[in-house]
Amino acid sequence: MIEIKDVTKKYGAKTAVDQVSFTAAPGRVTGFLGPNGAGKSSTLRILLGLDQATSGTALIDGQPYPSLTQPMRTVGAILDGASAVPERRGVDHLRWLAQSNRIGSQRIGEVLETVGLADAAKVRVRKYSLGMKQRLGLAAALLGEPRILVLDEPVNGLDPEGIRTIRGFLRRYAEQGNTVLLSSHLMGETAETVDDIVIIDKGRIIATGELGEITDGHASLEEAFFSLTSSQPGQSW
Amino acid sequence: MMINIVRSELTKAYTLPRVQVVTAALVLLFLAIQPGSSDTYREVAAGVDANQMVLDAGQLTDAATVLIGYVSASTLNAGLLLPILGAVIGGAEFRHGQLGLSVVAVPNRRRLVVGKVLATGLVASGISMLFSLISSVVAWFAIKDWNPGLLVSPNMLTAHARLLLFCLTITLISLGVTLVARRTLIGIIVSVVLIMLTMTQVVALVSPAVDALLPWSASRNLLLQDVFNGVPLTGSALHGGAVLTCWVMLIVIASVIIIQRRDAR
Repeated sequence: MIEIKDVTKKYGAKTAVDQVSFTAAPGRVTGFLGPNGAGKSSTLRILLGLDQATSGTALIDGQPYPSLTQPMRTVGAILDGASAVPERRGVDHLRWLAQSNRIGSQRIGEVLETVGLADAAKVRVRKYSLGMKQRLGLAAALLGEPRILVLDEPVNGLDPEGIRTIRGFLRRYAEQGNTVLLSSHLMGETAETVDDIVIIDKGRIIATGELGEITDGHASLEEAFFSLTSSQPGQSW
Repeated sequence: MMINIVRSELTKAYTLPRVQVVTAALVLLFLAIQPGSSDTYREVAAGVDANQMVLDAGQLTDAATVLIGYVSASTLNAGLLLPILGAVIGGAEFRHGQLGLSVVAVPNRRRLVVGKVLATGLVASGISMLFSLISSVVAWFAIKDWNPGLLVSPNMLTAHARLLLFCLTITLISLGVTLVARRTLIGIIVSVVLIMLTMTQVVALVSPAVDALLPWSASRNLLLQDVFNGVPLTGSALHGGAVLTCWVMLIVIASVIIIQRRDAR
């Protein structure tokens, strides 16, 4: 269970996240939606202990993330803007992560197989395509066989087959009783993956609920999103 | 457990080609100066008189002391590159969001920084021991007909311990500066400025006492007590060792505080 309670994050005079509260429950995929710059990544960074909240709490199974020992065994994460160092080989990226959380080295081979990177394990990350880098990020998230996944824009750069694979994977992962929190700005894709939706705009939560509740009365999640955020396509261009 | 973090940090360091390149450059530089060092050791061995004294820089001096001093001097010269190693290891943390991943893996930032310091310390210690081994082998061939037992004498072992302290601290100071500044280049620039302050003797001319507090002056004080080097030292070996240790403690504490307080970006 992920619980975000009244989290606020200020950078000087600017409020990036304003009194954000929501939960992500086990057995469900929760979509965290919002336009670029809405506060999604800031919220997830606070949840994972990377940024300090100005106020409020973010808990994983009732504990702040920094208090978890061997946290990768509880939470797997993909972070937007935090990728493997290009000069390092994919397998070495996974190796240092595994060692830090006392995860057996056989698990590295398993997750590389899972994401289809076994043949590229010894290739330097700078030679990976964007999709391969995303899959390496997913492999890192899965290393500790966590019961919670926190994924920031995990399908960025993936081809349609990759997106479909991730979708199926996340659905199965949640059906096994695990918690999945998935941030995205891709409405159509998210609608096909999630059970619950949290919509954030300009740092504030503007809607939370089951997918059906949010889209009720709208032709699609995208329509619901534009209606809820009172924005128009092309408005921010 | 801390041992897992240290192991992870070692893997993180030595799976980066630039760390491998800097390490190789350090070892190659040290090997490159060995022929010159060997000649110096041979000259010392050839000049020893019946009283085990040798004429060094115009003065009759204990030959064993002179030889130990030259072994130390050769490591100090190669050690000029050690700050680059510390800066490269520390600076990698701030490229491509590496620090974010590190904090996700080890959210206790104090343990993360301490683990990195210990791992970098192990790397520097390994290099120091390799230097000691190489210089011992080179020196053995040069002095085997005079006094090969000198290489395992208490005085020589003490010199190797000083070299270890020098390699360890000078690398960690640069690592700490880089962790505070968050950029490899700044870590290297600060190290070069500190070296220049000692080499140009600017501070020593104004105040030898202050000069003795600079890390490279402290390194000279630690290692070169028994070597004629044309430039007077500004403190004792003990003072030099204490100064270097204090620098490491202060910079590591500063790194921990700053990494803990700042967002992991």
